[in-house]
Amino acid sequence: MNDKLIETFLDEAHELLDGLEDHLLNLERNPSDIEAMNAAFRALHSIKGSASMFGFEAVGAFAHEVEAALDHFRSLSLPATPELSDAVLRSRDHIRALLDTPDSASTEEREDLIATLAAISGKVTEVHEVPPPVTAPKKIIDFNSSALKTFRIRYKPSADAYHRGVKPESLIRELKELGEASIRCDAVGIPPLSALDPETCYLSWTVLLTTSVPKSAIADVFIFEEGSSSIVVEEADQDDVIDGNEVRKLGEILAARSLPEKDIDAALSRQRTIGDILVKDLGTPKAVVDDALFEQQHARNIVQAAREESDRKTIRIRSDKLDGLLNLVGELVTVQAQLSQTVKDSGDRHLHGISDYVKRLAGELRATSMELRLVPVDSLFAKFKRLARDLSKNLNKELELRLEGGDTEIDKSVIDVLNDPLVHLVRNAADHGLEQTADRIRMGKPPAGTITMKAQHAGAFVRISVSDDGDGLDREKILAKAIDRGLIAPDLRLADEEIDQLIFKPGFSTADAVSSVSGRGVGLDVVKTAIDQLGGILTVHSQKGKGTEFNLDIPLTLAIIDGFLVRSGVRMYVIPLSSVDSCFERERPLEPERLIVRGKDFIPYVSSRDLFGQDEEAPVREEVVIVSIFDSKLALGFDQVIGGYQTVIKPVGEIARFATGISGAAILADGGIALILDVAALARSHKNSIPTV
Amino acid sequence: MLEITVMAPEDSGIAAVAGIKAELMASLQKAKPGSTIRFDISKAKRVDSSLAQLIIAFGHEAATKGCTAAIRDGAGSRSLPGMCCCDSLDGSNMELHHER
Repeated sequence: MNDKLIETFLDEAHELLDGLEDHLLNLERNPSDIEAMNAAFRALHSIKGSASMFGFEAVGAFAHEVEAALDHFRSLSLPATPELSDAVLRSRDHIRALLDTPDSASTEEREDLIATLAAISGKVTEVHEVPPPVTAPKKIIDFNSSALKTFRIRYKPSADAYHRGVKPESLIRELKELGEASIRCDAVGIPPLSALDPETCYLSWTVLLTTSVPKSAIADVFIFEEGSSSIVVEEADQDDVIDGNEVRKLGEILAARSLPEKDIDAALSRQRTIGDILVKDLGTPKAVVDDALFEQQHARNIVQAAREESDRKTIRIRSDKLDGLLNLVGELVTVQAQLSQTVKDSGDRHLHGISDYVKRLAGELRATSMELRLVPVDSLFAKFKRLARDLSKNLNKELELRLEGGDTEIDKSVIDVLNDPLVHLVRNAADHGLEQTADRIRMGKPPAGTITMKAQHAGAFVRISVSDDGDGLDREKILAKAIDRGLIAPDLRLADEEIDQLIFKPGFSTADAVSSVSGRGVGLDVVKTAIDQLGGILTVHSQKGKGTEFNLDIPLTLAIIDGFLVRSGVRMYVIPLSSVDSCFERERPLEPERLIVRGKDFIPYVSSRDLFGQDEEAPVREEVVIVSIFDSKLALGFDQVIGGYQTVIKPVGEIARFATGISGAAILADGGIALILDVAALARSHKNSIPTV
Repeated sequence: MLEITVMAPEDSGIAAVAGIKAELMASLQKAKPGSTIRFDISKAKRVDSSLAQLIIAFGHEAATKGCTAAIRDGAGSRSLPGMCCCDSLDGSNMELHHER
């Protein structure tokens, strides 16, 4: 089997498993949600089908068992029990293990799950001799093709059909193979048992079939029934049922079929289902309404299938290939800058035009490549619904997870790194942040604690916050623990914010007992290290009795940015353009300043010469750049502002990691190097430099 | 209340429906109003539309006698729509109880 095909199957299976988890969580919240039940069933069905096709027999067989249990509830329209949701969720995890690490997926667990599912479905013993209906793989139908037609087929087998050896349902199954079919069986004429001749056929079928096959192919299905049974095949006009991609409402369909408009209006005004009113009050034959409803449902299926077909018009690309593309674009941007400089020096007007064109193309290519790597934070957040549900069960706390800003996009590589830190923070919030339900009630809080995960853009950063409405950080306990562990001197006086920061110290934990959820000696320092390595910032804000909020400010991209090139002496610096608020020129102050006044704002100020040291004589005038990160501003003084500069970020190694305010380096057009300023770190370190009055 | 269970045979297709009808009729005769007659199809390997119409008729008859008709393990291919290869079944018994 082609490795690429297997890789694609695995990718799709993981997506289906993620979707399945989501549907099951919805079902757990609302056990009567038929849509969630159907969606979960479809996901399992797809996994089962493709797993068998790609040789993952164990997955296919197990998925079949799970699907059967779910189908048992689905086909009887029974609401899902908590036991069913739980068992299918665990089965979903087992399927994932079978796909990812087959050696670690234990047979005992699989057998246990099958037994549990069978017990839940009321099956005391294994009864799976009845094979699942065998259906050929559905052909992909081009719903935009004008060759598609919809046929209405009415089939009333003769009373002696069974005697003649006819199996009507087999003929209907053959019809299903020809296209997209909706099938209704009419059992109205069946008498009570005492009057029933069991070998007489009382049933009839109506099929709506959208297909590209000619009418003769449909007639061929009934070739041995011709002359014996009643078969009517007619082309159905779907225009009065479908308008473009929208399925018309029942009233519209019936109006198009010459039903008096006044009757429809009267029906609408009575606020009951239009079909019910037309039949019961206005004497419309039930069959007329039923036909229209049946066709409406069929049309909905067609439109849905067309939408799913449209969704398939995407391609999958390995993320390392995108990394390779972005590296090449980075090189191109650097070479393009060198080209621009060389052309500028040459003074050749013709080359100048070409160079400008290359510059524009490189810029567009860069923007497109960056967009390819952006994925919505939703894909990361979605996993936390299950985590919150499991935490709620394990900790026996009522817990609600709120997700906000899921459509915020962030670089795929950042998303991958963020998962573990966020899991840690959510576990921490559930275990240590939220009070026990009884305590919350006593404090007058809602019984269910809330954990909110939120994402939002702020210039070149994305802020992801995890907050809870629990009791807040216990600063006395934190201090005591820090002193006990020798992290701070016993007589040291710390502000509240400084005490809060102690929780990020390595090995720090205030958990009184080790639990399966958190408090296993792995502290928040692990989270901080991960965020630091991303060039981000982790902060915490807490209010006693109100809750705690962790903010993770993460750079939007780790590869290429629009920069603002500035000079100080002979050194060049790049400021991320999205952080630049404004700039102005002024006489260089004779006395050192710590802040400047702009309008009503007092803004901390620092000269780049003071910040990074500079021996050359300073010019008389300086250019001040005001940068802004979230709610902080900082004014930075430079000798000269050069202007916009597309910057490929290069790592600066271990040494610069210890230099506050430097996040990377960039190669300039002349081959020189510019340091990229970490304005967030600079703003934070100077935030408290405004003197108190 | 009296509870009677009728087991469907492995082959519950057209060849068997006459025999199944006889068993169901016998159980209906034994039953009193309020009784439950359970038709267990969990062991049935072969089912078709003739069994579906038999079950529907059984439901009608049980209802007229004031009995409860219950179907055990009628899911998937053993459900009434499954037996008739359809998405919806008009005129099937609302009075039929389904058991897991």
